[in-house]
Order: sequence, then C-alpha cells, then structure tokens
Amino acid sequence: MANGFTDRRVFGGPPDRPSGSVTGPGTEYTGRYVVLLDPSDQESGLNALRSSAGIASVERVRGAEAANAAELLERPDVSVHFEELGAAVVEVRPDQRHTLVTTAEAEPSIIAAEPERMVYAMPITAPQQAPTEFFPAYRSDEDVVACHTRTEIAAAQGPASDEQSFTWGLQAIRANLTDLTGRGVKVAVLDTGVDTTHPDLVRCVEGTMSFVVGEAVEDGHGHGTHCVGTVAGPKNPQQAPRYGVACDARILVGKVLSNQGSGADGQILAGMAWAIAQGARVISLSLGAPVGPGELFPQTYEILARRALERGTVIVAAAGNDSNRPPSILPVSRPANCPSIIAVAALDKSITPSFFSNGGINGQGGEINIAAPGRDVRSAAPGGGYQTMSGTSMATPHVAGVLALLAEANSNASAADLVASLKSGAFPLTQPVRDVGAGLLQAP
Amino acid sequence: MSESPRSAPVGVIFAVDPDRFAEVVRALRQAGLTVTSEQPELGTLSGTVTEDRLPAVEAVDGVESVDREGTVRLPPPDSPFQ
Repeated sequence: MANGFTDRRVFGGPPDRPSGSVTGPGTEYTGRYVVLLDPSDQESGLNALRSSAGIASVERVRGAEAANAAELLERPDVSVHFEELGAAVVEVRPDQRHTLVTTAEAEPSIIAAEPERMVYAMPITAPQQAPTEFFPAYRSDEDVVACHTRTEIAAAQGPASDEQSFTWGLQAIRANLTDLTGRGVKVAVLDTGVDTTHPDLVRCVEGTMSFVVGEAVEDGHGHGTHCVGTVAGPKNPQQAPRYGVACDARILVGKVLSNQGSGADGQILAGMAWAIAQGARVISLSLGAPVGPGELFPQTYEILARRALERGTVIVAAAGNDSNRPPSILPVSRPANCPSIIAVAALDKSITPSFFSNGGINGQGGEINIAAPGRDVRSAAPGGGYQTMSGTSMATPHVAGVLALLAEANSNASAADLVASLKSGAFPLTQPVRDVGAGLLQAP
Repeated sequence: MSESPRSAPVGVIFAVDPDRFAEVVRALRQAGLTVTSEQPELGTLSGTVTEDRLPAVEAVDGVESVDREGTVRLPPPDSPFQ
C-alpha cells in the first residue's frame, strides 16, 4: 500500500512502507524524507523542494517550540523545518520521492536528503551487502540505507561470536560479503618472511626476497606468515574459518625483519623499493618503532612514501602496541606517523580500541587514519597450521587486503584515489577520532 | 683505547634528489658516509657515519632529509601481542 499524505496513522499501527523497492525484512521507512539544508540559506532548499517535488506545507519549529514538533511530525499534511538544526522532515507523495532526491542533489543549498527510517535493534549477521557510500549522501536507494543501519548496529553490538565460516575480523569488515577478491593486485608484505610451503599460502605468493643477511625468506618467527594469511589467505582454507581478506591478491614477500623479529630502517627502505619496483599497489608494514610525545615523523620515510604514492603505491603501517588503556595512550609509532602513510589502529571484537593500540597523540601525521580488527585474529602459522594473535600488526594486513579489493574494483585508480576510497568507505565509530580515525575498515 | 661517543658510528637514512642520485651518494661518501643500502629509483639510502661527521653529510648538496636509523623489534613469537 502506498504511503501518501492521508490516513497514515488512521489505524494507529506502524507507518507503512513506501512504495518501490523494499529490500528484505527489518527495514521500515516512515515515507518522509530527512533533508539537511545549508544553514546559511535554508529557504532556497525548501523552495526548490516546494516547486519541484510538491512537498507538504512547511511548519517552522524553533528551539522553544520543540515540544510541539512530535505532534507536527505526526501530521501527514505538514513538513517540519527545524531551523536551528538546518534540517527538515518533509512529507512527499510516493510518486515524487525520486524527484525530491534528484532535486536535492542538484540544489546546492541542500546538503543531504534521505528517507527517514525506523530503527530497531537487530542481529548483525544478516548476509547483506555492505554500504559503500559515504554518509551523509543524496540517496533514494533504500538498500543502502538499510545496510547502513545494519552496519551501524553491527558497530554498536560487535560481530557474531560465531567464527565457523569466517573470522570475526572478516565479518566486521564485511569481507565475507563482497564479490571482489583482489584478483591480480600485488600486495607487498614486508615482515619476517613467510612459510612458503603452507598449503593455504603457496598459491598466493608472487615473489620473495630476503633483505636479512644470512636468512632465507622462510619465516622463523610466525609474524610474517600470519600477516600474509590475513591479506590473502584462500577462500577455502585447509581448515575453516576463512581468514584472508583478498583471496586472489598476489603477495610479494619481502623479508626485512629477522627470525628474531628485528630489522633496521635500511632493510625496510630496501624492501619498499623492491616492492615498488615489482609493481606492488599496496605495501603492508606490520612493524614500527616507538616515538616520544611531540617527536616528529622520520622525514626520509615521508619523502619515500610520497614518491611511492606518485608511482601508484599505498603504504599502510601499524600504529603500534605501546598503550595500556586506560589510561595510558602512547603516540603512533614510526613510520606509521608519517603524513603519507596510513596508520592503522586495532579494534577488539566489541569494535572498541584494543587496550594496547596507540593513539593520535602527536600531530603532523601522528594521527590514526583507520581502525581494523586486531584482537584475537586467527591466521596462518608456520608449519601449515594456524594461530591466533593480537596487535596493530594484525589490523594492518586487513587494511592492505581491502586496498587490494579497491584496486581490483578500479584498476585505473591512483594511489590517492585508493586512499580516499578507503577512508570514505570506513564506518564512522563513536570512539574518539584520536583512537579510530575514519572508523571501522569496510570492504567495498 | 675506548672510542669516544663523537667518533662512534651511527646508522642514518637519507632521502636525496633522485635525479642526481649517483652524484649525491658520491659526495656523501666523500663526506664520511659508509653506504649500507641504496635505492636509486626512490632516492633513498642508508649508511653509517661517525657522530662528528654528521653535520658534514647533512650539508651535502642534494640531501633532502637525514634521520637516525631506527630498529624494529617485534616481541618474541610466543608473545600474545604483536
């Protein structure tokens, strides 16, 4: 039944769905639209909607009259304009909804317009496509609104504890729902090497190089194998659950840390140069060294990262695990603290910052850029098995994997485009930007 | 005789002008740098130099940045946090 101006609440029940595509259970709309107006020119936006979409007559509500708003909102013949908020809840006939959205998009004084929705708490495991649009946006696509609602609730509730098919991390970033696999995209993992005979990983390794004198690329630590697995572990591992973000990405394994887990900047620079020369679109650095409060980023890494971006390569690095929250929050490590390197924070299953995860204490690049699953992360282990590890080191390859998906989706994208897509695709969290940056990593 | 701190070698990394990489590296060597790795395509290199020669290598024309070389140390493999 169409939800017009009349009789919406005659029977006292919940509002009807709007006509048009309705996508699955759990999504309800009131039929109204929420419109965000340019605060300095609110009347232009409303006039545009009046003349083109024929919205119902507008009643202004100012602060002191807010108590009346609920009553006004109930009236199907009235649109309500909250002047102090620069927002309006407008009534529109179902056949005018599309016109309203297109008008909103074209009218510069309208910042956003979207269907008003009913929100209920619901489980987060519904197998739905993840939202990719940034919020707010101009949209009439109810799929997107529904998905956004689900992700919002997912972020609030945390992913399912069920890891039978997918790790909690893949579920949280919605890598289990995308059709993208990172096919053909080269990702360099500069770490302690890899177990080159691990049955899950043998097919994803494109090339290897050791920058550690006297050590082969074979991983004698476990850190590197774990990180490679998170980027590109297979769709069907020897043993469930699936744990790799970009199953068909091609991994360049540069061993820059010894089997004891140590490495110097010179080795890391050499590994980065090799990765870029090999055509890596992404370099994943699950490594770093602590810096003090107020310490500036290393200029050499920053210059190198800028040159890498010019060549189409994005660098992501772990923010570091020096914190002990609460109350101790220590600054983002180097080289993640470079302005041109993506600094990755770690999240727990509850989608809150892990207690060890460093924060954006220092300015000038020392910010967190994005947050990803980094606690109790299952991935590959040397010897053909699996292990669960925690750290910003585990969060970082999730981000590298998503960048591979983005690069596959748009092979002509520049490095700057990939970074912009990564950040705008993240789901904003309620935690401080200092701790989570743009928010929870999301697969496209 | 024990080395004084001024003459102890320290690790350094550089970004230099990639368009005249060889020339700058040559000048750095002349200023006292021992090169340990070089990445001509990206214009970076690493090396060691005695503390008292640091101002001289920093002053080489074409050097865009000099940082003390840092070392990454992961926790041991059995540590729960990585």
